Amino acid sequence: MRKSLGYEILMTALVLVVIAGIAGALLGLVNHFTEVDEDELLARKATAVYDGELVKFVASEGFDAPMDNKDGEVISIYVPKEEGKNVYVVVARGYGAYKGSLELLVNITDGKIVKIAAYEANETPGLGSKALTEDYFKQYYNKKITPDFPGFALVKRPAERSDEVSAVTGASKSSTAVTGAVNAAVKWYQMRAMRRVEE
Amino acid sequence: MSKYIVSSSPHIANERTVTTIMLEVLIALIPAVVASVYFFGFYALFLEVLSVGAAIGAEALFNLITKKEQTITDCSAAVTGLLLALNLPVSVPFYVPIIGSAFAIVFVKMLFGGIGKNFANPAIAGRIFLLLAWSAAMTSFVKPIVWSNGEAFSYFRCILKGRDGLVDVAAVSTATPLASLRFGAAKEGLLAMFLGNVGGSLGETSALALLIGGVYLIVRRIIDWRVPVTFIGTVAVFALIYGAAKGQPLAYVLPSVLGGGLFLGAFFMATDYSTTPNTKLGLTVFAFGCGLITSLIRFFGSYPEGVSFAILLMNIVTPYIDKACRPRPFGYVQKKGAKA
Amino acid sequence: MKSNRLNTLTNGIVKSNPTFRLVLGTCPTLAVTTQALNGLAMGAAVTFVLLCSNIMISLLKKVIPDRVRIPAFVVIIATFVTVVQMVMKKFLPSLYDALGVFLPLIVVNCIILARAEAFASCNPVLDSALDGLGMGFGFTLSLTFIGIVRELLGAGSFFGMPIGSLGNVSMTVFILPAGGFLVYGTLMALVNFLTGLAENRKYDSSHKEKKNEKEANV
Repeated sequence: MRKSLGYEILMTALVLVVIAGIAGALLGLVNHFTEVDEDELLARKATAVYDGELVKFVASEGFDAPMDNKDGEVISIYVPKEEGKNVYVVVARGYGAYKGSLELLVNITDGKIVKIAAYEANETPGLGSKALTEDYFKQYYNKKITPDFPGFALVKRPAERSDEVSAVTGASKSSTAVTGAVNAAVKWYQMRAMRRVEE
Repeated sequence: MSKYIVSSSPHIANERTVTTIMLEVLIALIPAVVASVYFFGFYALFLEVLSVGAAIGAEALFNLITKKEQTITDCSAAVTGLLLALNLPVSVPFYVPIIGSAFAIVFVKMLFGGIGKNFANPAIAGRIFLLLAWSAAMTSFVKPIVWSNGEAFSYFRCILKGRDGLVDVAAVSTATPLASLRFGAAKEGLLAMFLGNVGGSLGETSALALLIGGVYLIVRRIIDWRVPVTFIGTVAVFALIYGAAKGQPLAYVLPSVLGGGLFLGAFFMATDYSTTPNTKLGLTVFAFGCGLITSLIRFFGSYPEGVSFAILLMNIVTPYIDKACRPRPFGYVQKKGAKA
Repeated sequence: MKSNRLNTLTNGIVKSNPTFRLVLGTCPTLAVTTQALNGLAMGAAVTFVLLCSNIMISLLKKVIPDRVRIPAFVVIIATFVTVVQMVMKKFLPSLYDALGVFLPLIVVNCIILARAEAFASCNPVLDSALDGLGMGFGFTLSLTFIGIVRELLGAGSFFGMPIGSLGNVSMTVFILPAGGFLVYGTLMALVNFLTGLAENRKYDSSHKEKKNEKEANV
């Protein structure tokens, strides 16, 4: 018995649709149980740089808008739940890392970076990961961000000026990406937060 | 294997064997060894002895384990070990030359079938392996010693240093002429660079000592003068062009030629027989490629020095150069496509 | 029959080990084995996908039309990969980060498609499951082994635990791609040498037995 061409095409399509349908249903089910609320997760991870409860920063026009920059960009901003504190936790992404990009949490308190932590960073252990340690982050801390602060400059030698940061030997790509992310946070702070103070 | 003759045809047999050639190379390296001891003290000699010993030991052990004919008497392992040691900074701990030599001999030479069958110069590949393995230790250089201060044994304190630890020698650390060239003009005087009284690897600082050895090899016809002349010439020309683009044509030429491992590479490592082309034209192309890549890495790359990477890359393309530069046999007329 | 099934299971672990003998799935092998734990996790993820897809494809082998079997296989494999990905993201976020893009890339891992096409689509369910399990174990073992060697030499630690002051003299090259190739090649040579040795011994002993038999007959 020879089946007609039309029947064969119909059966093929039907089988594929059924398989895809079952696959979709299965994935939906698994997703239901494993769904991760990114915002909540971020707010929880952000406590690595700020001791206290954080909420997403939703301010009147433009304050929470991510800014584009070729070295890095700001993804989102968190502020303490408690009112009246000059604290911003900036989630910033830096480009040029060994594996493309990396994301950092930058705590800017009273116009100074006081704490940095890696958020989504996956650099080579023992090599690029050296640019994600407290020892390296320290170089960015406690430097006053004035409106005309040009951003941190990465150098491949011991830092001489206060806005210079010495790259980690053997991890220059990761160092570049970290500097890009920090500079994006700094730029956001300069443009948005300072304007708010003026207003 | 003992009657190993190197050249393109026609072949004329003579008394020259691998052993005599390697001994000549060792003789030619004596000035560089003396210079390394003079500038960096007896720890330099210790590293060289260790490296040579490790190379010979690794080859002997490999032959023993794989039940092959013992080949250490051809002295090529000793040459590899010594060249590798001359490529190290004096401030490396003792295990660096041992592991480097063992890697060079076992992985680069013996696993490919021994002398004559290796795809790259073992000393170069060993140095690059060490550079990737302990990049901090391999790129930190210290000042030459002062004999009158009784510093002859002073760098023995590096013997047990950890991988990143330069703590105890940080006070005497210094930049190589090439590194300072990247941040503007070289601070070191040209005479100091020519004699070797600057920071750098054991055997690369003294251009004079290397020149003596190199000229000896050329005079003894162990190496072809085309390779060092083309290699160094290419680097000089590119330094001239780079300098011209920056508005000071001559500022980069001599520091580029005298600084870094250019002389060591051009005379002793780009002239290895089994990893370089067979024909004179091929050798010239090879040396030009080495010079070009060296210049590109030095001026535009992220490493201050590029001689070893350049030689390794050109080692790898050597079979293709040989294919492209195949000599035309006497009396052979190239066929023309449409000959009616 | 029983020994046959056992053969199906052990086939993937030694005789046709996907990493060292078949040289399949080289990309994740070289990329994720910078640490032993990453290798183990990658192996476990692949084993799960291999087991599930082999069972599924073996079950559906009569239903799936021959012409569209590759798209159907890919849909099935992709589904299980996505499941693994979602579960890992929820429960093992640090491993999820470490494996990065190589987790979704399991979809195009040639071991899985090769076993689906070569084994599961023409064998009963139980055999397919055993084959998937064996191949997965072989892959996991190889990746973990490469990871242990690279981590030990490159970072001086074992499954993330520093061993003495070994980290002070460790060779960074082994956690770089160059070191990955170096370790992979050396281990492959070693495995081939050892299996060759074992096969020779088997051959020699069977040969000797035959010889003895012959002599006895004479």
